[in-house]
Amino acid sequence: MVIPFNLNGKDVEIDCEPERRLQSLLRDIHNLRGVHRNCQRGHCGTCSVFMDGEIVPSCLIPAYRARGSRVETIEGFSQTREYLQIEEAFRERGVFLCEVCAPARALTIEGLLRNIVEPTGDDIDRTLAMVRCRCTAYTPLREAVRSVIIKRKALIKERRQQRNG
Amino acid sequence: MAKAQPAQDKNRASRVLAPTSLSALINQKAAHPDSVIYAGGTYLLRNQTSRVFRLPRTVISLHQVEDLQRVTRTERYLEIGAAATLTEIIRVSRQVLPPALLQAIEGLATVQVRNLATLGGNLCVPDRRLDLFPVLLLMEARLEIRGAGRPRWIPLPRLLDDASGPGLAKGEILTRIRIPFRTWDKQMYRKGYPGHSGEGRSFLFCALAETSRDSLSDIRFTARITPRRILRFKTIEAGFIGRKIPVTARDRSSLLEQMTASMEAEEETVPTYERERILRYTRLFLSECGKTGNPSGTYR
Repeated sequence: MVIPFNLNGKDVEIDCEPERRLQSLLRDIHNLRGVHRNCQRGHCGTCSVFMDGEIVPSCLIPAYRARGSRVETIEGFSQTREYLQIEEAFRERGVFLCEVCAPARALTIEGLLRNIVEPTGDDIDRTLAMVRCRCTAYTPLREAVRSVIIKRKALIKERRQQRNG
Repeated sequence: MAKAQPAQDKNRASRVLAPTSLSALINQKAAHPDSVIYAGGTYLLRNQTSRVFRLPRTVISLHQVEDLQRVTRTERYLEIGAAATLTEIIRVSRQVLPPALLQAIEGLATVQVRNLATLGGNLCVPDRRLDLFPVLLLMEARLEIRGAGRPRWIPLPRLLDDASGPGLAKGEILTRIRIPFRTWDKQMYRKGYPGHSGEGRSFLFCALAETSRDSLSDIRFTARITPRRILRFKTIEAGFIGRKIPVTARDRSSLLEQMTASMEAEEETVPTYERERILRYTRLFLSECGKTGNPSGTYR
């Protein structure tokens, strides 16, 4: 089955079985190693990607579902200013994540900020619970997310000003 | 164009149909009555670990049928398309969802999984009653079933009740879930994991009450004690309607005694953990029923 979709801003087509995991399609065929293979049940969150703007576990999606959709992985997201803000906040707050959870943490935080401009403490905790990894304490992570929220507001304001000339 | 190495026998490959309208979906289901409806796929794929899923021979995917993803509301009820994702339901109707149902949805899985999982999928799993089933059961949700003939509405218990005939005949699909709006003043939803249970087995308790001035005008309890077994206490509930609130100690102990007797009379024993939880939560719920100042009535 030929599956055309948009991957990190580029239109791609792939001929594969419709039942193949999206995770396998991205990791094994497109060599996107930021999509990790872990629990394969949607529990751990380390295979998270954006699909049509929603964050989803790529291990629970058959390839045919990607047909015509817009998929964004950490490789695409890391080229944006939003990612740089998250990375900067991590560095400032002394958050050093392992290579397995770091991509998913960045994507889930971005997912939160795309949906909610002013997230509450509960929203932040819920977002952190989306990735099950115990490599870093949650307190600095929470602080980092709060720091990203402030930076993001400034970025939105700056873009608005640029748009308005 | 990139080409993947075949990872499985081509003879086993599934045929995936992806209708884009409700009428096309109904026609395809009628043409392939043995096909499996694929909505979010979270239940169908949950225990598979290979790189290529083992899907049924013919799969009808609902992800392009927009009619099934709509969430609408009227003055009397909330109508949710069977393929609306749980995230979409929360997003669209957070303000009007009964707190117990909202809590049940939010407690279901991680956000990523809720972005895929659908309400229809949660109800249609044939061998289990998943988390939303008991809550919607208490709320008297009704389901729209469509097939080759005219659409029909059935009460939720009929869906998986084989004794009264299959809720879903071959070639039929669940299209909408209708939840009536009632002023449930007090709601309680609790989920627990019994120590003796196997993986993925959980205990659920849900209670709803409607009050008018100083008495109970309706009260309902349910508990899911095994994946297939749901307890209701309809006779006891009916006998309790009209009692004064706050519930007196005498009324409370009388109700708990009746519940204990009812559970002991069950053909299949109710395990100790579940029995004690049911009694404990009922006691707590009744004591909260008389209290004011907790209008949302959800106790987390």
